[in-house]
Amino acid sequence: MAIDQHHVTSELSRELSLFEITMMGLGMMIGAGVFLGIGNVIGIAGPGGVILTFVLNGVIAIMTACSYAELSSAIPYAGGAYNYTRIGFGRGASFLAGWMEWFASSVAGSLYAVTFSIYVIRYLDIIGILNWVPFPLPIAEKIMAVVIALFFFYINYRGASETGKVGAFFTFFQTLFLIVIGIIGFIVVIKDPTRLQNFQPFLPHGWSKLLITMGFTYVAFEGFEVIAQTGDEAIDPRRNLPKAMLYSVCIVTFTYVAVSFAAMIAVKAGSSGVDMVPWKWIGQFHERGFGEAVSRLIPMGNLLLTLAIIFASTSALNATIYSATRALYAMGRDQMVPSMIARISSKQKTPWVSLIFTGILVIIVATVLPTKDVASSASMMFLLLFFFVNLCVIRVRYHMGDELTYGFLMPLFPYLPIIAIVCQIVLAVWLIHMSLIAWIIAPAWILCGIALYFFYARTHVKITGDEIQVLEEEKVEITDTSYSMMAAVANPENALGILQVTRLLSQAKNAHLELIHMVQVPDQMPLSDADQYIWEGKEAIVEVMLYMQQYPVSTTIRYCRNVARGIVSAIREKKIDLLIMGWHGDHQSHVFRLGSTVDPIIERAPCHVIIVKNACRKKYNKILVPVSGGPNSNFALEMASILCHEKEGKITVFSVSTGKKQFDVKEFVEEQQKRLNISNDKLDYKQVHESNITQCILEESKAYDLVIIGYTHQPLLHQVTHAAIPDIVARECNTPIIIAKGTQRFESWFKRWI
Amino acid sequence: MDIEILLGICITFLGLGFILYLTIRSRRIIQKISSPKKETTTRVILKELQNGD
Repeated sequence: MAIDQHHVTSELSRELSLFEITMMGLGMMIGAGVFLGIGNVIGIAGPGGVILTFVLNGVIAIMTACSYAELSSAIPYAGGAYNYTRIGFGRGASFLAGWMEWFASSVAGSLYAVTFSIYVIRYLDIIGILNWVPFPLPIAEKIMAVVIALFFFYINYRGASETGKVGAFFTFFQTLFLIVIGIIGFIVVIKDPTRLQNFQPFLPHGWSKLLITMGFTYVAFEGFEVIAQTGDEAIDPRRNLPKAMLYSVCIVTFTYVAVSFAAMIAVKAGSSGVDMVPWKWIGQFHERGFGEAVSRLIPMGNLLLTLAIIFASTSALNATIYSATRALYAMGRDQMVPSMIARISSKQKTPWVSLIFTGILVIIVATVLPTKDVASSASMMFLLLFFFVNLCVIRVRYHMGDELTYGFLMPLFPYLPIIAIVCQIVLAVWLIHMSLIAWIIAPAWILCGIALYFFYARTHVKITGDEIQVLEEEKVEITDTSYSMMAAVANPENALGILQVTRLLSQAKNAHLELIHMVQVPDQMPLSDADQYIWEGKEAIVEVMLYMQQYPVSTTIRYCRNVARGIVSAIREKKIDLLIMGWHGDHQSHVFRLGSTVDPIIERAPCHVIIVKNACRKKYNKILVPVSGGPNSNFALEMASILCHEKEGKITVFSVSTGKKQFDVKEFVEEQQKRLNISNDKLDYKQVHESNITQCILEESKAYDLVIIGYTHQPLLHQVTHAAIPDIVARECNTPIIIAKGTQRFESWFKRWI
Repeated sequence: MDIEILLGICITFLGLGFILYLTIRSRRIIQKISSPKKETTTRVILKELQNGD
């Protein structure tokens, strides 16, 4: 969307319907993988292997499609993986994703050019047109691949492309043709059930070959991600993009399985020209195996199939060149690669420089590498790219789920992306058995990308609007302390509210303290205006510093689009062990348990967190610690032991039993006493039997100076949406209260990385 | 019937069934997530889905 100087906005008109974008994804997928792959897969894995290859790849692809669907519904702008990784992981990851996407799309383009040429040359050879050619057919195929690639580069340079509607109908009929082949296959089997014997032996080389064929043919499932590029032009993108991605993968998987089945039963054992078992006969033709099989299934099969492949591979080639060029152009526009790559032709209005670079890559790969290695390289790079996107969906939901507007949330989260990640790693590794060259090219390309990022992109890239930036920072040299605390201050009043607790904890832990203030900048405001809002935060920090002069204190003021995200990011960066925040106690949202800033911080911070409400005193004489045996009870008691008055203070561990499950509070107290080294006269316990736990705790708290309660335990990556007992107690308690959330070592490590 | 073929058929039907299930369930989730004007962060949607709204 562009904004001109008179504040009139311009944007692409939304004209692409659900049908059109679904066909776009289908058109990209049915480009080459299935036509080249079936023959090779049958030869490697056998008759049963070809069916299982496409089914299992379809299962992995639908899981990745769910990840893409969720991300595209929340970030419905052109850019795809490049955009998602920038938002999820930052600039470096975004560069790598764009770099991989450019290579993957270009190599896929090579594959489509090669597919086109193989089948066209095959057909021309069959009808006898090529007898005059003075060089072998494989060379003719390479020349044809270069010619068709150059033709479509010219088409893209001119900017001419078939309209969405025309392209959609071409793809519809291509898909229909393949489905018809599948249906004919089933009809043939019904008429001649002996053809089912073609499936014996089912897996002649064993189950392990499946991993190789799955990796090799995974490129047949790449294409749905191009739907993400239509975000700026699709109608109702938040709902239609996810639907289109899932529908296209579902349709294509069923189509591939039907077509594979038909190819296997197409050849009758013992028929003319078939001097071996059908699966070996088809397999011997490698990339042309599918064509040979179909020619025996339907009349004029050769011609019809050649026509279908011409349409499929050329429309996929056109779309891939467009997609690859756009990926490189986007990186040039953001100055991740030299900006001259983003140059647009003044006459044709197309990115001619990125077209040239993409063209060079496509042609080199198509002419130099054998077909098997081209397909494997494309598959490998897409596997790695999709692995990245599956990681991204977890991170984006985890970190920005409260900021983005989603049109779709995948079911079975986070299991689907985790399973997809594992499968993609396994397939990528196993590809080494199919193509060693792919296994050299892909890592070499990624390493080149990393080097390019560190030596060029990192210093040239444009800063984007949603990054967290440091406005002011004062660091103090840390000596003799390994414990870091952070206190988040919002304003002077809030700062004084947490001051005493901060001092006590800092002293007890001999900690280095970091004071942080986040300036939230709305999306509409440019980041350059952020510094006019730092004065309140500065005042807050100065107030705290007055009382903390004898402690080593660093300060930082940062701007961000979202306070919770900014604080969690700072915790990670500074390796904080404990965060202290104030909380006003008002609860107005039915969605959040404590608040829109507090909830995400408690869930995501990779450190201990304490939330302070009205606890301004220096020390407390009577502290109540309600416990239920959860992991946060230990941490709550530890905090109580620090905040309790050394001489007159007493801590009461309080447990309410409803009769269902008895918690042994006495054993708990004895354990904690030893662990925390608390004397007998300071620690006591009380257990009551009541049905209403919350009410009982609230009544009991009236007799105390301070309540410290553990936060409800949440499993990793799981969002608890209903209010729990600690939340209700925290909201309704009139006594000063501290909510304590501890973190385990593994949980802390996991949250730092995710 | 050969155990390998039986297993292959089971995996095929289970795999295709899983793909269909995921597609249909995802479509239902998209339909359930109502008007775009309403707040649709993950927290809101999960709450709606859990409450069966």
